[in-house]
Amino acid sequence: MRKTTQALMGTASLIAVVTGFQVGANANPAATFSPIPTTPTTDPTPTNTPTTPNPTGTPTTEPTVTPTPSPTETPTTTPTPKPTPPPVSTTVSQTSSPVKYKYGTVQLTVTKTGSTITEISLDQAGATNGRGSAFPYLVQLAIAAQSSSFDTSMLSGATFSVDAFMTALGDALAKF
Amino acid sequence: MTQSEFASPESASTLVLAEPSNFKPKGQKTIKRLQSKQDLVEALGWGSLIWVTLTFLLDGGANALVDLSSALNAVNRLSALLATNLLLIQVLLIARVPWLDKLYGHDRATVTHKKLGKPVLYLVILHFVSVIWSYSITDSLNVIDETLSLINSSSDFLLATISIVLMILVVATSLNLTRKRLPYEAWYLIHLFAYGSVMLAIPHQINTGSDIAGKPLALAFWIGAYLFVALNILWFRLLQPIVFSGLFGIKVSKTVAEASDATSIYLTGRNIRTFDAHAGQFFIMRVITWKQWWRAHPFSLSAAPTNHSLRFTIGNRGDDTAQLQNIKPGTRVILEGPYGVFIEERRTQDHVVLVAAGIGAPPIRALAESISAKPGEATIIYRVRNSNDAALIAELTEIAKRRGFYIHILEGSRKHPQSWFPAGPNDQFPDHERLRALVPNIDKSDVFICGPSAFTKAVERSLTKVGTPLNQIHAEEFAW
Repeated sequence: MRKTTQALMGTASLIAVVTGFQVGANANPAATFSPIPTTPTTDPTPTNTPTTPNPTGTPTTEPTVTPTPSPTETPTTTPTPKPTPPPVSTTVSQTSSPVKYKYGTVQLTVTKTGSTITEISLDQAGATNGRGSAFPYLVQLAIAAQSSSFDTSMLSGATFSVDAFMTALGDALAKF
Repeated sequence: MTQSEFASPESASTLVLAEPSNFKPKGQKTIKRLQSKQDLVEALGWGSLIWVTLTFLLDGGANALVDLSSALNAVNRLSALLATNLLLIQVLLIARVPWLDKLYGHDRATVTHKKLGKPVLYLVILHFVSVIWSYSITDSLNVIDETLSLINSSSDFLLATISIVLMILVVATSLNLTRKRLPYEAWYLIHLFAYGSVMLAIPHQINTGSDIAGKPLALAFWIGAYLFVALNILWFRLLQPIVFSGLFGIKVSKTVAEASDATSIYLTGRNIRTFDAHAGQFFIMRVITWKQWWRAHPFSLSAAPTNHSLRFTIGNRGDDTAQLQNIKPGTRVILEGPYGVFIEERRTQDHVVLVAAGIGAPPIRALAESISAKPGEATIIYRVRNSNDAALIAELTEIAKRRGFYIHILEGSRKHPQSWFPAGPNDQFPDHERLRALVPNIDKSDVFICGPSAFTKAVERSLTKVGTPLNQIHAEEFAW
């Protein structure tokens, strides 16, 4: 290469790589997913989980952007332990066995009130390189579908995580 | 076959010469145009590396590097992308594809191919080690157990492991140290494993590659890249030579002994002109006999190609070339080529100096015949040990006589090992002074040199001293 071409290519490459790094760093990999209808806010991280029924704790008076990082801690639907049979619907939790896959291990606990899945908490959600960002969506989708059969095609680029999640979910549901 | 007499001056006087070309040197324009094309190709190669890095970054590859495992995973992805990309470039460089050969010549492409060998291997090893390491952290297993569990659980991984072992073997046998100790055939056979290595790595890239699996754009890019390289190799290295040589019925029409250690082979065939060869270029020749078909040899044209024949002059170097001295007329031949940028097209000046040593004479002889130059514009310098037994010397003398070129036969052994001139009365003058005495306008001439690499380098040193610009020096080393 001639000097000028070299300089041009070098500068262009540098700009491309730096821009690529910036864009890649700002855009959470989850941004490539197009989850459930809700139009994503400026903050692409999953905001509050609307599908959770009746959070007993705080009345939802503050619908502002309060990003709740993981869906596990939000709903705190931990009402009655076991020794209370009288209510019509009992709440039972079952934990899946750990599912090992390419990028880590997935283990989850499904909580059912009556026959309704009210909560899915991730006990282990190992996933390298931000791949785990698919899990919160999967939790939402599973609760919405009330089963382990739902369409995951909108979650592109997370084939392995999705497979592992589905296996774990199926395993936990089978235990009820 | 009976050995005919060596070509004598009498037979030279009946020599039929091709019409010289009507090439007109265009000075710096030629260089500029060549450089633009080279820049374009290099920019594309470089750009492909930047492109794969970009896809990795845009995917958030360098993002969320929170612990050792995720950092290792990023290293593993990036090293895999760069290694695969470089490997494809490396394979393409050695594929002798005409459009690359025209720009760089076989020697420069080969040098770059060699230079890429170790970096590619290092990247692949880095990829392998970082994958195992990062997975072993995630799975909390030790490295060996992790490797074994991956091999057991994934056939893709097993193939990829074989691929890296083959690649280590190929590079290890190509290091200068080992290469010298291996017979050529052994090295060549092991080197063929490189193709296996490239192919065995493909399944794990497509099926599990974080940057390919489930990413249609990336998948398309990589499949395109693989296909591009594969088709170039398949057509230019394998199919075209067989198809052309078979269709045209290329065969030996006659042989002529030129010296005690050199024989000319004439090849004929229908449409032999289709090869579009130029004086100064070489072909890779495969003689179709039971003993020889699997071994190919590079030979330069020793006469300007005509519409119905190609002539090669083959020096006897004691190996297969010894058997080729007695090749029978009618023998079928497969030709691959033509190759090389030792051609008039690279000329920039009106004056030309053609320098040959020993069996470097054939391409110089071909260039002398076809080069476009008025009487007095060209000089031939032929360095020989003994002019009574030098291939093509009579023909070169005859060409010089008919076309009005200067010719200097430099005969005898040299005085200093560093010198390329024979011992003689002008010994006290350095080589470059003696060269300038022979060709006063040497710095304003294009110089074509063909000879053993030590000779070529010695002449190049002299040329640098007399001030001939580098882009006017054209050298073809026949050391393979």
